[in-house]
Amino acid sequence: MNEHPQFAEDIDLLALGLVEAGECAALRAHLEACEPCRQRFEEAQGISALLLLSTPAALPPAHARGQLLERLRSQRAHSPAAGQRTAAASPSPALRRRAGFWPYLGWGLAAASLVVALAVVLPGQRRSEAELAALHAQLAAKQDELDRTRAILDLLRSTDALRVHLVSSTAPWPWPEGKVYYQPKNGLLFVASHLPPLDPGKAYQLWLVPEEGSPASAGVFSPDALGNATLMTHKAPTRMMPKTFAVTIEDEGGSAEPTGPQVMVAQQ
Amino acid sequence: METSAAATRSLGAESGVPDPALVLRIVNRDELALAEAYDRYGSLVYAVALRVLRDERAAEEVLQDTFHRLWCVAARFDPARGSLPAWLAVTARHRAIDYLRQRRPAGESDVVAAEIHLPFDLEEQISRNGLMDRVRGALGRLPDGQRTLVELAYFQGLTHTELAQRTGEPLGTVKTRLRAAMAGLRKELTEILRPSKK
Repeated sequence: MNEHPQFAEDIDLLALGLVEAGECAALRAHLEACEPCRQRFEEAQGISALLLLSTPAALPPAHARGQLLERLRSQRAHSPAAGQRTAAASPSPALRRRAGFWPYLGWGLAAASLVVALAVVLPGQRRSEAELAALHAQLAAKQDELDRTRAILDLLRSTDALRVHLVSSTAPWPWPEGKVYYQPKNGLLFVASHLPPLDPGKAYQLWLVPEEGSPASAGVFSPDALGNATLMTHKAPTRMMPKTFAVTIEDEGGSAEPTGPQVMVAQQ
Repeated sequence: METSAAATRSLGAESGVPDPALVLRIVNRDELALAEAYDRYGSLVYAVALRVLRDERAAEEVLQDTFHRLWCVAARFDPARGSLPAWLAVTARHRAIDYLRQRRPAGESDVVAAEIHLPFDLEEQISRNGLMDRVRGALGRLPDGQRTLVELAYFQGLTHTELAQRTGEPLGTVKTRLRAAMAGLRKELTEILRPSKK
């Protein structure tokens, strides 16, 4: 039996995170000094942790892993004391999302600077036709990049885009998984992670599988060193609304129909 | 059968180096070690955040912040006294509740900082078949009023005052019911935890 019933009740509430700040200091001071109460607190913490650990599993978005690692690399690259163990807080993804137009601003500024160069600087300096053509090409490339980024954003924002989670039922941990965003009007975006490396001459191929008829290819792709991959098509490979999606391993150039082993399939 | 986040987690832990070694590599700024920790426990952290926030985007932010936090404070983590998945789960819950409180106008926080020192081997306990079912069963056997309060308090981060407002019960009654709920959970779940106590 606990010798300190006046603390025993609040110990459980403390483990649930429900003790008011004013009451907390005295309770914690008591826990420092009282072994039985500390033991009770640790048990209550264990129970609280079990409540969390019993939460039904939920797979995070496939891109989250890559973003996390990118955040670390970015932080390391921009830190004057790279390698320090107390890392300065970098902007959270939400903060970056709230400033979601900044990437566009970056591209926009790049494009604008090229326009300025074309319209103002070049005539003054009498650049050659070749230089002018090169800058036009750069501008076109930046515009193309901007269009692609916009298309991805449109697809992600679309309320009527089909969102399908693909998982593997056979591969060992970490299981390959992916997410398809599909809308006939805006195309298709596929993001995958935990993909095993491929044998030389092989590639992954994403398929749209109809209710009836042959699957349509959405393209081939290869994972990076961390097993992540992205596939984007601006034009829907077929007008039909697929029944499911699947990824197979095919020859590098892709196959007209699925022939290789299935790596993942849409979660039913 | 529904899969628990913990069960998913335990599969990950079996396939690589032990958690303490993983934490040590993270302390030494090994990004691949953090990636490995993410592979093991990312779904657990995301599941906890999603349960609290019920918002995929917000849960993803908490997921990122929780692992970023691990990256930043891994040197302070003592594997001998704590469980990495428990630390991550509790940290995710606290971060998620902080996120909720930023949204709520009455943002007064009385949430105590997470410090998880467990006197038993949680890893071993989690790997036991049926443990999570017993946890859910214990929650399910609580009287409705108590279970609702635990859900609201623990998974939605409501303070005592907010719980009283939400349920229309006096503050004292809310505290009494929460204590009774915890006593009920303790009665059933401590039996699970004690056998491996060090």
